[in-house]
Amino acid sequence: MPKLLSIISFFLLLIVGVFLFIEEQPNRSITDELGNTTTIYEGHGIIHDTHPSMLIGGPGKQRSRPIFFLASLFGILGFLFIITTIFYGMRTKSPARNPRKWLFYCSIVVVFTFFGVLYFYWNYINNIELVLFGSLPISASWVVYGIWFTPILFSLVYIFGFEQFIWNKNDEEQFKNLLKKKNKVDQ
Amino acid sequence: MEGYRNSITVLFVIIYMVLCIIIGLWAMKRTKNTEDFFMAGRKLGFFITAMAMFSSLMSGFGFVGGPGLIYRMGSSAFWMFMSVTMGFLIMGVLLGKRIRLFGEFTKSVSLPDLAAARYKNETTRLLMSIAIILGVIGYLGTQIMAMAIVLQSVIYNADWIPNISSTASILISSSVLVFYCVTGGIIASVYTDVVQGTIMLISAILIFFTALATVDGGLSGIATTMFLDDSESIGSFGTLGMIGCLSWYFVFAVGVSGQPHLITKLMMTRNVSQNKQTVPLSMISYGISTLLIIGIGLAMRALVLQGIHPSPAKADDVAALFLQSYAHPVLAGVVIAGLFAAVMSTADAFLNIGVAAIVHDIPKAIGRTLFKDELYWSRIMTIILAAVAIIFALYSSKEMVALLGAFGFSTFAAAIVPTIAIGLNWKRATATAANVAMAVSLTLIFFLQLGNINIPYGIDKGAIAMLVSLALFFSISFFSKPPKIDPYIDEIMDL
Repeated sequence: MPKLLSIISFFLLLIVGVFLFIEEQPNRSITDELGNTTTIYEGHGIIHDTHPSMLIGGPGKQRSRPIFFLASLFGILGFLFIITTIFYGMRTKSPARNPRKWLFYCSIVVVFTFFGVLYFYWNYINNIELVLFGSLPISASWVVYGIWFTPILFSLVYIFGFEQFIWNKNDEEQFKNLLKKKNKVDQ
Repeated sequence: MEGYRNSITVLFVIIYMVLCIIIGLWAMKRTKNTEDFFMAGRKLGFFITAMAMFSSLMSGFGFVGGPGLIYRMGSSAFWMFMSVTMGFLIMGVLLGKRIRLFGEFTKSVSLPDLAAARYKNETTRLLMSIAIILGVIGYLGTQIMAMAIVLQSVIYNADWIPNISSTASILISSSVLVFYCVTGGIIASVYTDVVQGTIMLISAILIFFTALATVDGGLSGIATTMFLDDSESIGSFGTLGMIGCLSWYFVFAVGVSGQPHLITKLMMTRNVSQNKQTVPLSMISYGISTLLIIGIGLAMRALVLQGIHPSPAKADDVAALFLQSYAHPVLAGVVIAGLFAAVMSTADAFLNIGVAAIVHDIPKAIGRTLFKDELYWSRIMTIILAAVAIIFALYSSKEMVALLGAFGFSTFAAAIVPTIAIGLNWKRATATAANVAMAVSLTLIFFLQLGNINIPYGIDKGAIAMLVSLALFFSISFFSKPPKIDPYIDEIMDL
């Protein structure tokens, strides 16, 4: 699994590297009285016209469409990294004590939720209309009720499978013996 | 009761501070040696540990800066705060068991101790101590500043107390913090965390519903107002956009496992079995406390857009403004005490790990006994470290609290996640890889932050530093000779 984690980290870094060379959209050029031109990049927020302490996102289609697939790939790899660390953290030597099946089901839900976020965001920027679900625009509700709550599934595996997958009396015994052995050697 | 609003708030803050001092005095009697001072004698129960963990992470950066960030950036900030619940889970599975076993087995009282035992390398200990001290001064300074801002706003609104300067408010609030940390060490710190965590949870739930009730139509009304002003602000990725939000999610979910003030708490538990309750409880508590951030941030954005509330000068002010204008006086008092709680609970944890790095780890790393009586010097160093952080707070930049906090979080994440979170699980990890990853990530993040380097599309600087750190850690380990691991450590890693 460390190999997989290292490959994912490299790809994530590569994507970040590609982003450094993509010109941020939208942007606008301003020329001052001396004729100097500066470009202002507004792809990550624009100061609100009437409330300067607030930012607005501006034209979603213009800023998100050109980077949609690359950013989505970053997100998918990011979630894969997270899922892999959970698999890695809950690994055991004994196959009988392996929670892979349950973690796999949870991972499918996480990936499905993230695809839901992407799908509804794509619709949101292309046909700007307000459809509420759970009192939020449907694209935001996938983030709040989906992305925020999915860790609960993994935590259920953690709680109910704790003795089977993580730690039980035998492990405790084994650790105590190891500690005794070491203390004897130290003395 | 409205006429006594400010007096009630001040009363709650005074009660809270007195409570902290009492806990400090009580804990002093229970602190007999260095292991008590730094590790609470490894006797903490699951409830205490869970509350201490969640309240250490929910700092001034969250409770003071969080509502400001949501107000300023809309739903973008969801990705930062909601990722932390996933972060608690990752921390639980990667470190919950390992760090406790390593801690007891190697008799480590700090994270650098643990790193040195794992890699059998004193440079690793030194680099981790430096990373911790650098992060602590910056992060602690931010916390002290946030605490002073809240105290000053409370006093400013109470007619019967003369106004004080920001320096005086920094000194008053820091004195209480230093008092209970010096007297009771980590025992005082974790027990005040329980009080602080409870206050935070109660305030979060009450404020969330108050915030929704303040705007006509509740959450739907807020969403509609924000949508009509700027559809992106309440879309999936808010005003920051896709890649910025996704980089936040990545660094905050994975980075929790690199927060020293949080993960050292896992070394203090009575046994590993407790993690079954500790990890989910801390995760859920953090999730609930996020409601305050979301509630105030969204409600204030809608109220300002609707013209009901005047536009604030600074986004960081929205939490205090909301409490002063819309919350019931008693609730405002509880929440302002909660704001103090959030800041102090993180600050005390930072003081503790920073002092451990100075008194215990650096002398060990350089092979000299600098402090014969560690317990005595730990107390002295707590005062000195707080003084340095106060100086940093007085002279630090006026960037948003949440963004400064994010920088501190990322500094720890980039330096510590590979070395500790991966390194305690992966036998192939080498000391050279850990040292290079820590040194490069620290240099990179300080270069990006202090050099004011702009990254396109708001990609988080911490995410870049953490990815570079991870890539270096993995590649150097894979390309070097497999390390020789102590047979005992090897067996522990198999458990």
